[in-house]
Amino acid sequence: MVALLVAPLVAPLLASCAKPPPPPAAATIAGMPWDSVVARARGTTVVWRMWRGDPSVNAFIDRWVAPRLLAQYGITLQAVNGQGNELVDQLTVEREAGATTGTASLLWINGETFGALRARSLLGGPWSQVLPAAELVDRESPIVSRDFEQDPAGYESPWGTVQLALIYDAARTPNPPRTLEDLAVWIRAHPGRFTHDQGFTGITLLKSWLYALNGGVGTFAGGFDSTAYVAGRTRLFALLDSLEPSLWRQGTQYPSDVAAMHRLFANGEIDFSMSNNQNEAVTKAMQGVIPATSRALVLRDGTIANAHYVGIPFNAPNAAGAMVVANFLLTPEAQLEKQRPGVWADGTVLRLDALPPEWRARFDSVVNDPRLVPADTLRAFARPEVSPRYHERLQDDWRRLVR
Amino acid sequence: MSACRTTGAGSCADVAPRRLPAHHPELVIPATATATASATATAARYRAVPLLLAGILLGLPIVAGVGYSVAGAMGWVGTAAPGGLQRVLADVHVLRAVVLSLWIATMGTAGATAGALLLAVLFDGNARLDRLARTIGSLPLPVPNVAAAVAILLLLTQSGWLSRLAVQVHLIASPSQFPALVYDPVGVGIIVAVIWKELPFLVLVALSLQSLRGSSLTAAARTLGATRWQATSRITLPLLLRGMAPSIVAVFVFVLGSLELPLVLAPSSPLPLPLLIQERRQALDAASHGEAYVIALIATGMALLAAVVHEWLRDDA
Repeated sequence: MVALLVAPLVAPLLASCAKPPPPPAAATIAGMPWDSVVARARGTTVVWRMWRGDPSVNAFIDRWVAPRLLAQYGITLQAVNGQGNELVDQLTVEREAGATTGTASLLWINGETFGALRARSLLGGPWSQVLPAAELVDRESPIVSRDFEQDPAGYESPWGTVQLALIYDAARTPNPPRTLEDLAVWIRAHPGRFTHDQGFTGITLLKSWLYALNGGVGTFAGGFDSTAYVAGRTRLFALLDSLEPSLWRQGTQYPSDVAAMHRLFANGEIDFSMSNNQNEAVTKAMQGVIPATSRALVLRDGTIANAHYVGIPFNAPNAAGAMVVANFLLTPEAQLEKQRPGVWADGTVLRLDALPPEWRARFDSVVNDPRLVPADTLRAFARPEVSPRYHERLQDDWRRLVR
Repeated sequence: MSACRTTGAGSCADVAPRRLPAHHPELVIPATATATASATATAARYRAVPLLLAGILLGLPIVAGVGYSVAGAMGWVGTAAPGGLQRVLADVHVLRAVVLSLWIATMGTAGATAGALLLAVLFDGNARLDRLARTIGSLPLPVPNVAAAVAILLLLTQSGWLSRLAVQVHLIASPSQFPALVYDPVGVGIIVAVIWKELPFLVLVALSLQSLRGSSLTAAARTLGATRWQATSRITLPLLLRGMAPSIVAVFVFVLGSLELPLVLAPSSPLPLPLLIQERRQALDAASHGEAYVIALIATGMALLAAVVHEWLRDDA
């Protein structure tokens, strides 16, 4: 009786002990001719673990990418939630449990997540260099070719680029400050009207100020230097201390994320929001989240630009399908759609002058949208990322010492 | 045994001695004369199966979870670095998180309990107003926690509905003068949300207790000369509180560990326990991950302590 009741509970556990042979790894698939990779991928499902926090990104994936993958390659794309450290955790646990066949075949990653995954050998590869569309990638760009100073080394394939920008309402603040120094003056003159979030974007803003206050990004380039960091942090935190009484809620509270920033900005509690995507001032205004008169602002001291990538886990059940998806994401068609302000407005990783003229013209018409920050302005003030350790330390120290 | 077979399993259970929990030995109801020793043994075996199943289904995950947390805290599994325990015990942020979470859970549970008692005592009749009040009291039950949190956000922030109303009627000159009730260090917004969300659950418990108990005790007290207030404070309230105690503890423990309301409404400093656990668990620096397990174990200990205190008070009563 007991055995009858318990058997169905235990059976799956026992069955999982009898392991099937592991699926071919990404590096193995990368050695095959592309045609046979595509053939292997046909009729399969690709589970893509990604950040699902933005409805416009989700809509692009679910309603534009997925149907095309199904029509062109017979691939069913399943986007599931998971980002940053959760990915590292999940794969670590899968490895501890001896799962040679994992759950996800594709991951959306960059920076410190890529670093952590590589350090623990949780990524498959190298594979990204064999994608046919990889020929179009802008390898000259320091933003695309280095991921927080790390060499992607074929373990991740670039997907998009973004640059940090402040967002202001031109109707409310017709003459916004253009440098960090002017911004500090403005904050003191308008107490309670400025803050930053405590998530990734806020720390990225502080990191760009860390560069600006300490002789530029060069001070921190070339790996983590504890002495340079501590000296830089002292200057940055001195500025933050002097600004604190003039921040929203006198600096005793900080919004949890960018969505909370947008809400405070739209409701008129603060005068600046921010985003890790230079075009979000336009996309969020089009969606009615923030006022229609919102504009992006790139401080002349420089703002941080970075690229984001897709990687394949060491135990991906469907590495072939994942590679076909990664290749599709690099096609001019998919890159252009992603960059449209009405879709997501995520920057391309392609070298535009390598594209056929008709594609180039289409990209130009999107990039030269008058509501966006001009491309050459963005380029002029773009600063690369430094070792992810700086971001880790700054986040940790800010949480413990400032917040 | 044969008598059991012929009359069906239901009556078998009926003839088994029905024991109330061990601390009420005087209340053991003797088995009827028809019961035999073998029937008792069969019944015991029937009860052993669900007990074993419950043990496996409920106990195993808890043991596994606590075991993994301990291993994670020590840095034996997962991504954590060792030394988490020492760091957590010396961390003032953890202490502040414990205090804030206890404060929110205590105030939220106390508020919801008081509201439920008030509703059950004042509106226990059959008049239309009574029924209306009870319906309103149980209305928020199906509202998801996240929706409740967003509703509080729209209502109570400095740019919220109440703030704008206060400006309209010239109570304050500008929305920024409205008191900071959300993202505030004492958690007013979360406490209001907790009360609103947990009230209906306790109202339903209180009302079902009321209807089970009937009004005979109160009526007897009134006949013997007790005032209405005396009958309420000496009979109704103590009986209700006693009956509601397990539910009150359940609410307290749930609020202590629930993530949704703090996620939307909590201050950034201090952080409530669930958010602090999440933050340390997701920190970029892997050294913090072990701290998350230690804090999770502290939170589990607090919940267990609440259950133990409840058992202890029950034994005392």
